[in-house]
Amino acid sequence: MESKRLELKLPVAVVGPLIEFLLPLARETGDAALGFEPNLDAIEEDFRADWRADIAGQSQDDQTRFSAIFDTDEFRKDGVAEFAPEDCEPLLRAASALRLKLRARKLGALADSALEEGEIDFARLNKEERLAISTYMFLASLQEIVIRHLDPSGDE
Amino acid sequence: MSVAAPKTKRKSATRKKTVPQPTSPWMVVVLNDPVNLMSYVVLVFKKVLGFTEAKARKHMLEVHKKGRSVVWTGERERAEAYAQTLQSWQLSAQIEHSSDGK
Repeated sequence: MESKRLELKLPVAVVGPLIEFLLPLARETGDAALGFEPNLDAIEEDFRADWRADIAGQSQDDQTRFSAIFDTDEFRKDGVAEFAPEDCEPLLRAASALRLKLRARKLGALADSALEEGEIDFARLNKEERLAISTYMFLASLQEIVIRHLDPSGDE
Repeated sequence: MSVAAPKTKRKSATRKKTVPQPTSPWMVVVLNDPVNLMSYVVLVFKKVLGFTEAKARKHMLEVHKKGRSVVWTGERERAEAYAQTLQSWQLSAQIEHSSDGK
């Protein structure tokens, strides 16, 4: 049986620039695809390189799927992002990796508490930081939508 | 408790057993990070570890409030598989031996 495809309709004037900001990050390969540096202290040295490569490979695959969903003429024209149910988990993982990358590379000036509580003083941010935090918040909203779809019984 | 089989993409199935493995359990520990959403962490715990909603939320809150939570305990290879899967979901997971005293 063919699974029903999912469709998100987003305000392209608002979200379009955020996606364009994200796509170069999502296209990164190898170690640059890692959302964070995995702690391998307790892993035998012989296995660390393979372990790390596996995590990076999975992360790269997830972000490639993310790019494929949003890097389309349909999204740029109408703000429509269409994807299959089996894309939900890669989309969630990619959004998480991209948020971690944004946090590490673009939002270093913000305190952890400000990020966790969402208490951001936009007036104190420069243009790139504003774009980065808006993108970071968009990815969280996207994750919340997908999580509600995957797990409607869960409550926040 | 019945748990979901850990997924692993490890290519290195031929692990060298040059060092005797301790028999006491290994722990899978998840550390707090300021980035991942609480609802996301709950979902990951349910999917990867087979937790109920209540158990997943309990461990998520422990991570959030105490900075870490032991989410699984047992033999080393399964602990590694769980840790690697949790890392692939972008959670700060690691394994620790229970004799480390943490």
